[in-house]
Amino acid sequence: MKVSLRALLTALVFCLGLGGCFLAQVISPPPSVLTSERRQPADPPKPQSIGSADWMDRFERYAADRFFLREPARRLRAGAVLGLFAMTDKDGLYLDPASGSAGKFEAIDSSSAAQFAETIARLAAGMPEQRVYYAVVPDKSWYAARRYPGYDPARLREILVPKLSGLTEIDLTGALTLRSYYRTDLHWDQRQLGSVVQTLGEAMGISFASPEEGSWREAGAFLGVYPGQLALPLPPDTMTYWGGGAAEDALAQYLDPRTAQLVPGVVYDLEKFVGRDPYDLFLCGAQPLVVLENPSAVTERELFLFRDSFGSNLAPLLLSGYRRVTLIDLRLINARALPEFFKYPDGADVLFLYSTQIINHAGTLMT
Amino acid sequence: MLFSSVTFLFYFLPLTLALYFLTPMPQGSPRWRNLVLLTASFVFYAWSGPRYLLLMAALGLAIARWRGRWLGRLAFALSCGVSFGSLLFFKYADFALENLSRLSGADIPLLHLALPVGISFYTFQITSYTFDLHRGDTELQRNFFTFAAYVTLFPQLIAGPIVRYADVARELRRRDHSLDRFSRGVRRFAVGLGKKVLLANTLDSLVEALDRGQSGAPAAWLYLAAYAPHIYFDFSGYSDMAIGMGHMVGFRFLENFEYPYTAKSISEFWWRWHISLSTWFRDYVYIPLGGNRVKPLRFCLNILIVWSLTGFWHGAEWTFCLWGLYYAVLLLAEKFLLRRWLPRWPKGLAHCYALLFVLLGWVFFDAPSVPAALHMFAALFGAAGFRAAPAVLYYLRSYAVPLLAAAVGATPLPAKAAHTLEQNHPRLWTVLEPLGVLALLALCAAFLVDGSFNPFIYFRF
Repeated sequence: MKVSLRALLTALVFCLGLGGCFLAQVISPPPSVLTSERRQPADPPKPQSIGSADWMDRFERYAADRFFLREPARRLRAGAVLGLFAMTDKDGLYLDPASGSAGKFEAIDSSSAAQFAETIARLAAGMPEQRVYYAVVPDKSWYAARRYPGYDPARLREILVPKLSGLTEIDLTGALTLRSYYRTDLHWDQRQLGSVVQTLGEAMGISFASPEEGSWREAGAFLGVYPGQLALPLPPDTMTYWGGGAAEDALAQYLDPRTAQLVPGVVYDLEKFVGRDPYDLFLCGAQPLVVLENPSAVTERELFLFRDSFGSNLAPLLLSGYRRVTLIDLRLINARALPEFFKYPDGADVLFLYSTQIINHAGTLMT
Repeated sequence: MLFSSVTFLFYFLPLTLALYFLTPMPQGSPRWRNLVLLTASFVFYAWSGPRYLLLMAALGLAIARWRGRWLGRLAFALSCGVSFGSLLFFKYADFALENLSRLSGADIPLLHLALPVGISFYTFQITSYTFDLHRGDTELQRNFFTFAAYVTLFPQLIAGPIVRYADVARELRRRDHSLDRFSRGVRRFAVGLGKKVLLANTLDSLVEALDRGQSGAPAAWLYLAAYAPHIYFDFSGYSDMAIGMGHMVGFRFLENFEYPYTAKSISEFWWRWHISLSTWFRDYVYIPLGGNRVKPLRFCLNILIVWSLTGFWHGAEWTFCLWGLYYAVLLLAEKFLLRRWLPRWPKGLAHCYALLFVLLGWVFFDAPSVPAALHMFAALFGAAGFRAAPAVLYYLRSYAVPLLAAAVGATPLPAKAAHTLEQNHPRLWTVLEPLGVLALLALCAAFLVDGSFNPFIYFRF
């Protein structure tokens, strides 16, 4: 019987492709970390739990995470979605054509936003003698030239303002532009926060020192989270930090979760810059409680900053206006544990500063 | 386990095919290979819910045990009772209890039974065998393992096409394996995988995005414009993969879709959509009821019965029943009111008519409840306004190419183009086909590795 070359080639491509992938999946060692995605790969499900309902899902996640060509596959998908299909985002991740800035849009979750507001209002109710403010860090997609769906400051205000009527709102929307954020990351760039500091100062009645030009230091090239998530080769940003003035003299203390004691540390940890997340340079990354002291302060005012990671590079810029700035991350420490570490002095400033990511996941705040 | 998963593509399928083709066929009999298929099918099925493995075996055993007495009415009734009883119990018990509670005002507790995967499909397969035996249309299968292999055949076990025993009886005894047939299967499988992973899953993300709080007529119509190709590529992609794998292992399953969105009438749509289901209802319900060789009133009743059952087969919800009745009304309207006019309509108008009513029909099919369906109808016709929200315009722009690809892919144009190329440029095709298969597999693998888990819509039926 005559064998068609076409049939032979088609069958070969299929059998070698699937068979080769099977062998590679079995033989190749699983990765210890998915570097570009900045996460651990899924663990294989335990053989003894093979009867459980989620065994298949867990094996599928494990098999996909350990796929021997995972990175090329992710790049191929990014190319197909954004190139072949000419879509303007991949799973909500986008590369803004006008600015080259990458981001991820996410619609505001109304119920989570309401829960967030109720949480903040409840905490603020215990601070009758303090000046309490709140500000939302706008999602960077709001500033992109293309109008991405999701974040809408007016819609968010409709939810927050009625529930936070006892607090003073500080609107940061006008203080930021797309350039205020890293192109490759969700965070704002410390060097571009002059208007934010000024807006906060005007609202809180404080004159913060303007960072002098010569005191900016360059940490190096910084590739944020989005190139890895998008699987696209984007040019890096440059990360700089303000090393002058109050930031230079500042004393930093961090809560050691093992001893529940504050231990001394540094404001900018350059070792973290070469770690998995270079943004951890600022105040050593995720920390439940950080206290920054300003020994050269001419005031006794204190600031309690309830914050997420956006607060890490903002706080050094606020230090010039205070004797002490205490940063609290309620995702890592329960609000009920805070009296063990400090009391709010009368007249202290309290600022709730949160990004839309936290507002959309209000359940992560521990109160 | 899903066909469109890393587990299936890079573990299950290569292992199963290797085992299958390494198994010898003494005197050309595929009985050992049938055993491989049976074993693989049980592994495939067990992966989704091992607790129902016994039920499958029990069903197969019951049918096999009674196979010697098929001609007796009692055995036939028992066989149907076991098959349909299982389906009714698992799929419709809670629906019945819920409605009984509503009617009586009593608070009857629900059973909350998990639906065994594919029960709607294999019940119809088993009963087609029972009916055909009872009518003398097919021969008895005396080998239990061969019969069990037919019932559990993994390529079409959980989402069709509904393969009748008579259609594969010969191939279960003796079937040909050839490179040409295998490669045809590969091509079909790759096309099906591409339909599911590249088009259906992409459109599913649009459907999900529009489902989250977008209102207004433009959002509602865009939702339907995405949902219609989504469900088509999802289901027909699965059928293509099933047919393709059937070819690889020497079976020829009947076609399940024939470009349904190119239909020029509702009747034609149902000749082209889920063909194995509509022919099952035609042969085992409609014709036994008398078909169209009865008085007009009885004919109307027959149509209403068949389409209510078709609707209910899809799910234990009133929305599915309404969906079935909606088609019954349309088919009756075509039969009695439009019969003279429809063939005279310009082709374009007839296409638009069929497409519009099919799109509207999906509202019942997709809605979680009757009020939700009514709400969607209201939105389609402007109850929430006619303004296109910026998000809707964004999604329209972002998904323009996938929507366009889906629109073209739902017509015979791509297949015709491939066929023309194959006929006119066979040498070029010799290279293009394997390259196309490679490209589809690579793209699908990339989407599966980097994408989210996406079950088939028809799995829930």
